[in-house]
Amino acid sequence: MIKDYINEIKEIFNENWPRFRSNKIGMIGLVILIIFLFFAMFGPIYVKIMGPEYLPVNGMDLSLEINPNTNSYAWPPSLKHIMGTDAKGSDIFSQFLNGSKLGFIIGISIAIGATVLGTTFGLISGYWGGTLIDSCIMRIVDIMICIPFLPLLIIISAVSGSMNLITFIIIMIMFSWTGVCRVVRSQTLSLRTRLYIDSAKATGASNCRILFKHIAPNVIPLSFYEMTMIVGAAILTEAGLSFLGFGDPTQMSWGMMINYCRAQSHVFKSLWWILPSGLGITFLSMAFYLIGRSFDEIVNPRLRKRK
Amino acid sequence: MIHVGFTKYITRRILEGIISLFVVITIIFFLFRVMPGDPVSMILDPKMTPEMKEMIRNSYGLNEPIFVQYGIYLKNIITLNMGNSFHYSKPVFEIIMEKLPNTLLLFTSASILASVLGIFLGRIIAWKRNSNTEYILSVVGLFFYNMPLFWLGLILIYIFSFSLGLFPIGGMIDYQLWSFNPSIIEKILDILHHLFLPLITLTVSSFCGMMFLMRTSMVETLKEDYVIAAKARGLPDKVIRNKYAARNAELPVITALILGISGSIGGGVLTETVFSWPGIGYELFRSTMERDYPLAQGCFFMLSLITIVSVIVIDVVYSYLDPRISYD
Amino acid sequence: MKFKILIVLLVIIFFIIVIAINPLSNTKKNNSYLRTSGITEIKGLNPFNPSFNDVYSASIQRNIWEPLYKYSPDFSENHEIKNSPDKRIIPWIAKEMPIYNEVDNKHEVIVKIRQDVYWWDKKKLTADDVVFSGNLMLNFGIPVNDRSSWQIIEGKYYVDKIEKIDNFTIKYTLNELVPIFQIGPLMSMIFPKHQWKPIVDKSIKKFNEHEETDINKRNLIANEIWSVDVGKDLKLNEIIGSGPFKPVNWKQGEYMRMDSNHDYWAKGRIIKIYGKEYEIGPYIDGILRMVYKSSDTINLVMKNGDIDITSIQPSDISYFQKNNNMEIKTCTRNSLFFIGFNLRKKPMSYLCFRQSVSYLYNKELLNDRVFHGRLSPIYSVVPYVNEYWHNPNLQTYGKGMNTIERQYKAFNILKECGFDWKTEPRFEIENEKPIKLISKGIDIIMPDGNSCPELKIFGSPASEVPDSAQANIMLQEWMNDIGIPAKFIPIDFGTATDFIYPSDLSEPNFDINTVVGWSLGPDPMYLKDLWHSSHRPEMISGGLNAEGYINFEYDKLSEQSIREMDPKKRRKIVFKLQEIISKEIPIFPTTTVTNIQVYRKDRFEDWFSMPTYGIGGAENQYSYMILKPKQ
Repeated sequence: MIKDYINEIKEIFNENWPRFRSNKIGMIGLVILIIFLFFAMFGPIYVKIMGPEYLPVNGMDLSLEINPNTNSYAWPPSLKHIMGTDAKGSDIFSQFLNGSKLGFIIGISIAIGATVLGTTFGLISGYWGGTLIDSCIMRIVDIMICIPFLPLLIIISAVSGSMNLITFIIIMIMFSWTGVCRVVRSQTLSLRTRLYIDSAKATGASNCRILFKHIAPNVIPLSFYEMTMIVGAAILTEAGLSFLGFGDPTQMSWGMMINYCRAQSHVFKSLWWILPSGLGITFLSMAFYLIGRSFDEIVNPRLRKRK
Repeated sequence: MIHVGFTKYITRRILEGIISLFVVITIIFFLFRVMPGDPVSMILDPKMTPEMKEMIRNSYGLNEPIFVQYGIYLKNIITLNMGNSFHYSKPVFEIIMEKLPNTLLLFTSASILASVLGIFLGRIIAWKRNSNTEYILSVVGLFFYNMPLFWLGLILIYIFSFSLGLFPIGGMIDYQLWSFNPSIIEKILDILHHLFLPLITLTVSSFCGMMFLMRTSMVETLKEDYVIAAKARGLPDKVIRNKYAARNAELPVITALILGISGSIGGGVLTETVFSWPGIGYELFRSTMERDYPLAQGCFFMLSLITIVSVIVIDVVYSYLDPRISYD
Repeated sequence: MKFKILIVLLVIIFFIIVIAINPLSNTKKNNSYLRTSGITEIKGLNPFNPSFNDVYSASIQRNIWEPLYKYSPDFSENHEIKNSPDKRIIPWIAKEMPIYNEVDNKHEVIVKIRQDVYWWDKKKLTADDVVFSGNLMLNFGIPVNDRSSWQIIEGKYYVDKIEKIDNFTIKYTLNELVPIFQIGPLMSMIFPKHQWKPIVDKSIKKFNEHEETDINKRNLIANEIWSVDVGKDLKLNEIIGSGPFKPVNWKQGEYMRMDSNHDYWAKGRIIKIYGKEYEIGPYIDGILRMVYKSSDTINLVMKNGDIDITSIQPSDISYFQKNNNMEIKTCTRNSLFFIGFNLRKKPMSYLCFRQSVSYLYNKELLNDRVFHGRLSPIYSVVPYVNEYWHNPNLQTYGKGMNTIERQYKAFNILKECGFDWKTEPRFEIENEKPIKLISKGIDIIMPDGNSCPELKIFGSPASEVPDSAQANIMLQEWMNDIGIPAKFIPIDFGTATDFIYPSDLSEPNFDINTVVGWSLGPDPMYLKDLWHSSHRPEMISGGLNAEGYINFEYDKLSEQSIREMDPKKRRKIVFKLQEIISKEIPIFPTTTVTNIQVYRKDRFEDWFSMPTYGIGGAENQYSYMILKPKQ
């Protein structure tokens, strides 16, 4: 069955790649994505080349003098530190690379988790539409959509002292699947009345088989689109939470970089410290967004309407 | 025919809303109580004897069994009596009512501004599909859309407040001015002056959503018969765009506006924190940090209430306006 | 098209209006209010309420109600005090220094007060008010925050009674004469009897019929009194005090305006500060305290000239130094941050382990790199700013060593006392000096043969104190490098104190604690409260000896130290106590806070910064009394 999916995806890819290539917006996204992927891979190599002083969290360049303008060890970009250093003399470029790695980890793991969860529930709910299980799932979705998410996250992380990365990812997954679920459900609802489903039923195929063999492949593109949207949202949420100080302090994510910069009150003194992380967040989440958007336009030009 | 189903639908949505609200407040209550630490430990002091701590605990009602506390809490929520804030030592409801207008002022005006801008730009890109204008506007819009709000805020503060000195750095009023009883006009101007930067930040980062919505909606409308008919009649493009297509395409944008307001209020904790805007979001952040349970609960309750009410309103309005939606 | 034009027009008009408002700020009244700022709001004005224990509330309260005696502004010795342990107080409402007599095993203290002290409502402050205020403490234990200085054994007041001899003379009868009498009861605030007596009477009446034990009844009455909402139940303009500033306008969370009391009774009095004479005012129109939500904001507001004084971060020093209108003053506070070890657990119970962690913690480097000079290293539990009591001859645990040398030293200490590793850390050594860590140690094994459990370092989360979180990450890495499995657990203050100072007589549950810090008074009486073996949380609810330190020699000495009236002898004991802590390291003192204040010298003159307290604040009311607007 997994093979079927791979084939399905291959087919979609082969069919759409030429069209995707001609889509300017999508290509911009792809290029940005590849650049950041390179950054993420390069991070550990960079530290290895440059030595432990370049570790993102606790490394510091002991040869630096105090910068009289900031009264700290924050120096603007130089040959030795191409993005400059932060207040304690750590290399910002190394932190930036580490941030892109974390960005990918956070974004993609949350997106995949949430999509898998959402698609599964959406399929179940849609296929048995109108039954008790459907209304149960939909009521849960309705309730979860009503919860102001960021405030809840703040409260959770405040009461638990701080949130480590894995907890954060799990909580995010628990709250981001609802959108996917709704979309997949409505798609499934319309699919299940199609003729070929009826014929499959007539031949005595089990529900499970129909669901995963006949319906699921049709909702995959939709799920993929939703997934790219979640990546951006997840990265932004992590950044926001870290900015407020509720992030994982042992991980130097982009949000944490901004938080440290602000906490050391360097925002207005060292732009080189605050710019890379903010731009990193913007571009990475934008890349996913652009890809998702153009993909969506290609696969379902008329399917997606307002949500 | 529609009315029977419709009333039923509304009733069900409202019931669901109440259940959601109940779930939310229950989660919050237990989250706060289950975790170790209470406000008394926050005021730990080498000079404080255990006897005093006990006294304070008693005065806050923290020594009751947890389910009794929960019962009292639910009863109080229904009567909108959310207890006294530990920090301000005054009723939570009073504080929230003080902060709510500030939050609404900021986010409503930002959402309206973003919609106006979104509608305006959306019309342009819908009309000029696949042109360079569309690409540029889309990329620029998405660039700001994906930018962390708080970061954009910091950068804007850096440029306009710090470098150029045009706007205040944060807050909603100039305390110095207000503590000497200024005139009403001075007060209004002062608030506008403080409102500007957060407003711009919110608008810039959210107009993009509206723009795309408008575009999609307008592309749909352009395919409708009456628009095609108008074209066939040889009316000028501008007239068709502004009079025929745009009018009808604006409907979903305006409904999305309400949803946008509620959504941005939830995420507004960040904006309010960056700009020190004395609203509910900021109060929630601060009271959570200080373990001011009643106030944090109150703020969260109010935020949930806003979200739930607006989700219901949207659903109901939508289903009323668009008969294709079934009440399932 | 019209639509478009309209929008553009609207936007432009909006722009113009908004920017045009700027000149409006010139219409702010031209006056000489001192504009101060804070990040945190004043919790409350009711002086009896224990939860209003923040320095901001205290600083407002102490500008309203005043004590009999105060610390002299420059902490200079005052030779009029014959048998004071700490000759640093001057009479304020009191006329002269107290007179001590010993009568039948009891001590009597006679205090004469000035006859020219007036309340704001023009009534005279008399002995009645002093007796009334003292009895509030003896009967109901309020103000709660002063209570510990009225007791040396928990729950028992050493003051037996307070009586009025004539209108301006008071007699204190003491069961025992102790050093803190002078800085406790004699420094408590005096309240107007004619304002608070009715409130107290009402509260007594409310609970008199209740069937409660005597103690509970007193507590309930106290609770009733401190629940009076000053500012609402008791309006701001109805407050009666005797101090230099009156609260006038208060919007919670935003600002508070205090106007000067132009009929201040002490006006014209001369005080000597560092030999220079100053006449007491107040000369300014009042104080405006504004709450800005972040230190960034405050900084910018200061730069824009909208406030007159503020505390700044070290990174801002260079900016303000360039400004000729402003001046920077640093002041090292008397506070104690530390690494606390839970001595009940292994390996923290090994002295050599504690020593090696002490060596590992490179506080000089952290102060330089992470705190940027904001947290200066200390080597004794009595910080060096407390000159008289500070013992300067203590072990510094690696002052002047670099990180690698420290790690090497820590490694050797552990090795010598029997710790073992699965893989020892390896150092590159040149000329007998370690220069590089080649490989990390793995899996340390304790002398008893067990492997070391993962140690949790409790520290403040980045949301509260970001730089301290960074320091803890560094400590974690340093420990990991030599094979000690440590993990920094960010934990918020409230949660941490529940683990560290449980109030239900259970054992504290932590390994290493860096969350808590103490703000200390000038008197070292806290040495007993913090490490006396009877103050362990499992022995007494709310005990502060969370480390579980037991040393009977220390117990005995610390008991002596709070009773010894001869300052020289007491000093010797206090030195010895510091030495014991330094040797046995139940806690490792790390830093004290340095506060950097910047003020406008072009608007005001005669700024006075009090040692360890700085300009203004809860303990220093002198600054704003003598501050003068510049013409």
